[in-house]
Amino acid sequence: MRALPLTTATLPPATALYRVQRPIPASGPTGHAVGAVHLPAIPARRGRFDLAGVHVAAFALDPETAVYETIARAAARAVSLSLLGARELLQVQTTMPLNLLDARPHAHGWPFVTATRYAATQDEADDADVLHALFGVVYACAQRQGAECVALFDKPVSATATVLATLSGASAAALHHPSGSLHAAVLAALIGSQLPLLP
Amino acid sequence: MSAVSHLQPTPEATAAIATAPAGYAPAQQTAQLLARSQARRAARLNQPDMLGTDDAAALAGTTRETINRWIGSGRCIALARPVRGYRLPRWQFEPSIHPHLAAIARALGTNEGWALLLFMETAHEALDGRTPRVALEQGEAARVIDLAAAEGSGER
Repeated sequence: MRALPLTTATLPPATALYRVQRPIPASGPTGHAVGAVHLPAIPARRGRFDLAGVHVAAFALDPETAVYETIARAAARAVSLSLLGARELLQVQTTMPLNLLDARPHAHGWPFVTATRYAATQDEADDADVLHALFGVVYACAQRQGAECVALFDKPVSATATVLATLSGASAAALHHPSGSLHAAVLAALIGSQLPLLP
Repeated sequence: MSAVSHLQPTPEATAAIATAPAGYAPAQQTAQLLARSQARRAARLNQPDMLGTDDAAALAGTTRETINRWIGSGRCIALARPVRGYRLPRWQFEPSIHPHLAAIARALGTNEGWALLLFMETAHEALDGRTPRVALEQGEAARVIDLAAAEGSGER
C-alpha cells in the first residue's frame, strides 16, 4: 500500500448494509443504477476511497450511521426537510464473502484515513483494487466515532456479475414519510448531531 | 391539572403515535423540530446580506416578475418569509455565481431555497473544505455542479 500496512477483512454473506441515496425514478435512473443501488452517472475521485474509473458505493453497517454519513455530517450546519423528502434509506445484504482492505486498525496511526485529505485515501483504494484484487475497503466512519463503513468497488466478482449486482434483499424507506413522520434513524441523527431542521 | 395528568400525552399526541408508520417517529416531532429552528431561520432572513425581491431585481438589473420566475425555476435562491415574500442572499448575483445556479439546482434535484442555501454555504470535503460558493468564485463551476449531482449518494 502507499502508506497503510496491508490488512484485509472478509465481509461475510448476509451482512446488512445501509446507505442514504436518491431514489431511482420510475422513469429510470438519473445516474448509474445496479439493482437498487443508485450512483452518480460517472465514476470519479470525489469521496473517501473513490476510484477514478470504477463506480464505488458507500455503505454504513447501521442505519443511523448512513444518515450521519450523508445528511448529518460533521460539517453540516442544518438539515433541509425538503431534501430529506427526496432521499431514501436503502438496505441490502451481501450474498457472498467479499475480501476488503481493512483500514479500521489504522485510523489511530494513520489519521488521514478519517481526515478530509481524500486523495491519499483514493491512492490506497487504487492499490487495494489493482495490486491486491480486493473488492473494497472497510473503514472507521469519519462522521461518527466508533461506527464502521464500507466502500464497495463495483468490479466483476465472477464472469456474470459485479460486486453490487450480488447484493440482495433490497428494501428502501423514505427519510421523510408522506404522513409527515421522520424515519427513526433520521430523528436519532438530528438529536445526536443537534442540527436544526429547516423547511 | 394534577402533576400526573400533566405527564399524560395529549389526545393528539396519542393519535399521532398510533398512526406513525412502523420505524418512523410521530409527525408531531417533525413539527417540533421545525418550530425549534424558527429563531435561527429568522436570524438568517434578517442578516445584512439578505435582500427583498425589489432590491434583488434592482441589483440584477431586471424586474420583480423576473426574479419571481427565477425563484420558481431555481435560477435564484430565495427563502420564504414567515408571512409573505422572499429574502434573497446578495452574493448569488455575483457574475461568477448566478449563471450557474440553475444547473446546480437541477443537479441537486431541488429548487427549494433552504436546501440550495445550505448546499452553497456548507463546506465540502470534496471541494478541499471550501463551500460551493467559494469554489464558484474561484472559477470551479463544473466541479460544483458535479458535486451537486453526486450529493445524496451515500457520501463518505
